[in-house]
Amino acid sequence: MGELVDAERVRWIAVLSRIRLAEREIPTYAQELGRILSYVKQLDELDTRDVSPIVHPFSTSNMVRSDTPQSGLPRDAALANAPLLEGAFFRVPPVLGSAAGGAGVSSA
Amino acid sequence: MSEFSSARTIAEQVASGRIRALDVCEAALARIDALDNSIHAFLHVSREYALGRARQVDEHIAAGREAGILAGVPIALKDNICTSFAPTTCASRALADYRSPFDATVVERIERAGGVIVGKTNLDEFAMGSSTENSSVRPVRNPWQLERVPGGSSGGSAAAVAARMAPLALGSDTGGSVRLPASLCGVVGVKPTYGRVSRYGLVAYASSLDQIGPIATNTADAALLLEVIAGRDARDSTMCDESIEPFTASLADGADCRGLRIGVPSEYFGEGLAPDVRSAIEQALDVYRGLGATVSEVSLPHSRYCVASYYLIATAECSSNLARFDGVHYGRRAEPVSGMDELYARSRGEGLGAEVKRRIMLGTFALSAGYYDAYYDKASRVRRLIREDFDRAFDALDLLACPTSPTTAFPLGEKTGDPLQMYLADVHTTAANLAGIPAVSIPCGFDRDGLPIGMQLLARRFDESALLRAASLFESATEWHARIPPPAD
Repeated sequence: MGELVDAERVRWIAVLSRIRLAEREIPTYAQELGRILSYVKQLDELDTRDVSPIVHPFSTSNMVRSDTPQSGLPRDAALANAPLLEGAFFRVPPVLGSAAGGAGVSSA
Repeated sequence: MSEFSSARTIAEQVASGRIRALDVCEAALARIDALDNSIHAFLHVSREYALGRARQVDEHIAAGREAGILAGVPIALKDNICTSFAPTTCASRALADYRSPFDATVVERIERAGGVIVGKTNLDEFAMGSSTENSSVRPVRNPWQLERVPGGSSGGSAAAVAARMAPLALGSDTGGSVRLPASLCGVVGVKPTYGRVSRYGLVAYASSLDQIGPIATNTADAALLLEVIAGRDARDSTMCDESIEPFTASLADGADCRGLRIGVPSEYFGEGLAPDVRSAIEQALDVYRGLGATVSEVSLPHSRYCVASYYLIATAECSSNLARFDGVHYGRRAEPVSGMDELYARSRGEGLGAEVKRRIMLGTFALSAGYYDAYYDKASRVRRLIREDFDRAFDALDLLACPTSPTTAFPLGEKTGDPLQMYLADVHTTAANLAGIPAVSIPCGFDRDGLPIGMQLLARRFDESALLRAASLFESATEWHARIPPPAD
């Protein structure tokens, strides 16, 4: 934990995060993420083998409602902020067989 | 009736017909016009909408119908709370043109209670920050000294209330984002118990930590707003079962603090504490002793791990919550793009600011295969140790008291070069979010430069009543909260 974050790791994290970073930004992010990860390394000082993780702030049971139909968001409202529409569809580039140059790093 | 009247006074006067909601609204809008060019608290002022709402409130009252306990009160909302009548941008380029198709639950409740929403306030982008310098639009300035930060991430809401542009505001608090700006701006800010206020319509940052909270010039007003917005909502399944409490009524219980056991965590009084902050808190504790409370030292041994634990859990959760900003259904879309991967990556790359990207990447890393155990899971276990510190402390104590922030407002630009430095501004506030307990920051003095100092009180889960009562009693014995920033010329 807290190992140096190098450029390769930042590029990999950027792909996982689906965020395009410019090549020139990589060193700064590497340095900043490295510093933060070094800082959080202090959690290793604590023995937590017998401590269970907190998943929810307080104990609760699953909230359910009765199975009666309720109106949802009207279609026009749902489409109102669409960047690109085609009829009642959100228009996007091809999903299958799309060009490879996607997430990752540009040379800008 | 002046622009410095409390929300309660305004509501009473409007409900009784002595003043018009329309006049109150026009006065607030005029004050925003006069002051906000130098403070930048607002991203959007809903002028026509607010005036229309104010007229409706007046008509309602003239027709003899119930006015609501916030009748005619101008209220500002942090711009990560969804409104259908005004943009919701989260101070991000990704949402610069976004208009929500629905209102947040808190908005519905405010309007049902007669409140008049006057605009959306500036914030650190997606609520990520401690100074509001991460706003993609422009930073907010502290009304007390314009070259200083108001704190963050709810800096706009805190500044709006401090400058008396509106008597009430809502912010959101994930690691301190209501309490820290309240402290730096000299106003009252409450983070309710997790699960007390519906998050439906709050743009999610960290789902197990986020809470919407009121910001006001005094505790009774904060309690009033909390009473309106709190309570079970079927649309937020993370809410608690506790019924809405009459927070305002509980303020009147008891004339002093006899029997109140206040603990002071020694870990919050270390080297990083500014001397003027230390002495203000010590004097505040003397006030509580004078009111009959007992004050004793207590230890929260895992305090030093709070920031680390927070910045792993919050970033992990935000990496998931912000995945929706992909340019597909709403928000900024990059073009031209040749495929979906490029659409996602460039839309997010162009739309999201540096701090947001930093946190998403940190969180993604903390959750990734091979690292999940060492980072996110580890932090979640430490979170339990932190919570247990509070459980133990509250065995023999009713409240904990400490500085909200180790310093007063710092100059704009001082901490923007080092993200970690900025994260450490949250050293006193993240614990309450991690433990899910309620906390309030109240004004308790000023430093030698005239900058506000805030005292933080923390209570057991669901014990907002003890918190607010103690805060209110402190106000009755002091006048810090009544001070107003000098006019910004």
